Amino acid sequence: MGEIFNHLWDGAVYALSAWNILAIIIGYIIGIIAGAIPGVMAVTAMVLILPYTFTLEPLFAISLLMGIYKGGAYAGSITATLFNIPGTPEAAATALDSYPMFKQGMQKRSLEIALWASVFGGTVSNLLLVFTAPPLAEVALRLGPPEIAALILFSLTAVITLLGDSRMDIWKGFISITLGLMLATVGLDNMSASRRYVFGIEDLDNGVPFVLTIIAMLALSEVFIQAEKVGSFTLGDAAGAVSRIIPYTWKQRWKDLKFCLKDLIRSSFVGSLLGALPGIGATTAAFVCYGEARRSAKKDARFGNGDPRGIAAPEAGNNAVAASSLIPLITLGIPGSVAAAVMYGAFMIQGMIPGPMLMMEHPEIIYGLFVLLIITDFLGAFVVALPFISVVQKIFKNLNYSLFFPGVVVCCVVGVYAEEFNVFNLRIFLMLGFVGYIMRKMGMSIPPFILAFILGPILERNTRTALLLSNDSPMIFVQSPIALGLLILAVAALGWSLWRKTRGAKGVLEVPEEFKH
Amino acid sequence: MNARSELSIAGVLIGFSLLNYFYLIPTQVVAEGSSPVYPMLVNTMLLCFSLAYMGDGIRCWRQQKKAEGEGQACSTGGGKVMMRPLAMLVVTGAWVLSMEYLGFIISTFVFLIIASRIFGSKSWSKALIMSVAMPLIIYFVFRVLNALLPEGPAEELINLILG
Repeated sequence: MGEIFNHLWDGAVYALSAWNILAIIIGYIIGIIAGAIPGVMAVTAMVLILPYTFTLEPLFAISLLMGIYKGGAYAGSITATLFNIPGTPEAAATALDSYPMFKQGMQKRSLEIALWASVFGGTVSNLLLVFTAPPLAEVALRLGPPEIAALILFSLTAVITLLGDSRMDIWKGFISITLGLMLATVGLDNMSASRRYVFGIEDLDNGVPFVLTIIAMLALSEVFIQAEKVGSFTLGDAAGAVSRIIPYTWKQRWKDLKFCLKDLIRSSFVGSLLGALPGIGATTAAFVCYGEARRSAKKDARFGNGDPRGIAAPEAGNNAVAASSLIPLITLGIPGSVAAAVMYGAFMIQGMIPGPMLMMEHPEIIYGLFVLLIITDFLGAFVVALPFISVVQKIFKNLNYSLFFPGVVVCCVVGVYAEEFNVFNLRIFLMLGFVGYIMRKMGMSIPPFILAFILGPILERNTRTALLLSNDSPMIFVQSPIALGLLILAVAALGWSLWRKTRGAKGVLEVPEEFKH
Repeated sequence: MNARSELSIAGVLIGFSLLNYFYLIPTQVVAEGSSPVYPMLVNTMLLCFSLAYMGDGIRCWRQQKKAEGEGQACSTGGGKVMMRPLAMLVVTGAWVLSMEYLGFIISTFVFLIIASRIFGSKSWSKALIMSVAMPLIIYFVFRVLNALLPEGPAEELINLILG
C-alpha cells in the first residue's frame, strides 16, 4: 500500500504540469461538444483526434483523450436534460428523470445532480483503478501464453453475450469478431514474417493500420448512417426552454446529496465492476444502475417524474465505467471497451505497449496517468462543464448538420492520410468505412469487430506460442487451471446467453433499441 | 431486416468462408510460406457461426411464413433507402482518387460542396464559405507543421506566391 502512495507521489510530480492540465481542459471541452451532438459520441471525437497525437508528449496525448472521454460521458446528460435527446447512449437512462425535472423548472438542479454524480462515480472508479491495478499487474506477469490466449477468448465472448435480444444477434456478434480476427491476419505473419492475404500489394505488408480501421469503422460508417437520416432530425416539441426556472439552493443541494448518497455509492461500485469486465460498457452500466435504484426505492418514489436518484444513479454508474474500463488495459494489455481500444492506440502511437510490463518499467507514466485521471473529474466538472452548459445549448440548437458531417469526413480523411502520408491507405479507409456501414445495416455490432482486430495479433501470437511449447498439442489449454477456468467461463457465458435469449428474459430493464450501437 | 435478407447474408458468409478454405488460404497464406493453422482456425469459427446464423435464419423464415400477413415476427430493423450513403461513398471515393491529380485544396472544395448538398444543405453561401475555408485552414496548418498534403494547381499557386 505504501509503495502505491510513493508511486502516486512520483507520478504527481511527473504529470502535474500546466500543459497536461491544459490538455485535460481542452479534451473536456471537445468531449462536451462532441457528446452533446447526437450521432457523434465521445469515442468518435477520440478517434478523430487520435492520429494527431503522434507529435504530442505521451501524457499530454493521453490526458487529452481521457478529457474527451470524460467530457463526453457527462455531456450526454446535458442534451438529455434540456431536449430529452441523449447526446450519448448512456445518457438515455438519465433522460428518464432529468427531462421531467427540467420540465418542472428545475433545470439547474437536474444538471447539477448529474454533474456531481458524475464526479462521485468517476472518483470512486479512479480510486479502485489506482488500488487494484498494481496487484493485478503482478498477477498478470505470471500468466503464460495459454492463459493469455484463454483470457482474450473469454474477453471476446463476454463482449458478445450482452449483445441484442435474440440468438441471431449472438451469432452476428461472433461473426463480427471472426471478421475482426481475419482482418488482423492481413500483412506479415508476426512469427514467420511471411506474407498473408496481401494479394501482391506491398502497401499491405504491414497490415491494415490500426488507427485507419478504427476511424473507418466508427466515424466514416456513422457518417453513412447519418446520410440516411437527412432531414429526419428535429428538436420536435422539446423547445429547450421552460417558462420558469426554480433556483437551486445550497440547502436543497445538501438534501439531495444525502437523499441520493446510498444510490451514488452503490452505482459507483456497480459501474466500476461492470466497467472492469470487458465489453459491458457505459450504456448497460447506466441502465443497470437506474434499474437497481428504482428497485430499491420505496413505492412512493417518483421515478420517471423527476426523482433525483433517477439522475444520480445512472450518471454515477456510467462515469464509473470510464476509469475502471482501463483496468484490463493497464494490467493485462487487453482493451475492454472501444474507448480503451482508442487509448491502447494512443499508447502504441507513443511507442508504449500497455500491460503489466509498462507498469513495472515506467511506473511514473502509469501513476502520472492515475493522478491526471483523478483531477480530470473535478477540473472538468467544475472548471469546464458548468460554464459550458449554455454553450452546449446554443451549439445543439444552431448546428448545421448538412455542413457538419461532410466536415467530419474531411477530418477523418486528413487524419488517416497524416498517419503515413500514403494515398493507398485512403482507399482501404473508404472500403472499410463502407464495410462498417454494411455491417451496421446487417445488424452486426462494430465494437466486437474492433476489439477482435486489436486483440487478434496478441491472440494469434499466444495461441501459436502455446502450441509450439506443447508440440502442437491443444491439451496445453486444458492443463493450465487458469486457462481451463477461463475457457469454461467463456463457454458458460455463451451458453447462459443463448439460453437467456431463447427463453426471453423478463423483468430486466433493457437498453432501448435506438441506443444500441 | 427480414428473414430472407438474414438468410442471404448467412449464405454470402458461408460462401466467403468456403472461398477462404479452398482458394484464399492455399494461394495467399500457404503459397507464401506461412502457417495455415491460425487462419484455418479463424475461418472454421466463421463457418460454424455462419451455419448457426443460417439455422436461426431458417427458423425465423418459417415463423414468418406462419405469421404470413403479419410478417414482422423476426424483423430486426433496417432496410432503409441507401441512396444517400451510396452517393456519399461515390463522392468520397472520387475525392480520394482525384486528390493526387487535383491536389488537396481543389478536390476538397469540390467534395465539400457536393457532400453538403447530399446532406441536404439549402444555403449555398454557407456551403461555399465552409468549402473554401476548411481546405485552406487544413492546408496552412499542415504547411506550418512541415507536412505535405497532395499537391495540385492551387497548392503550386500558393507556393509561388509565398515562395
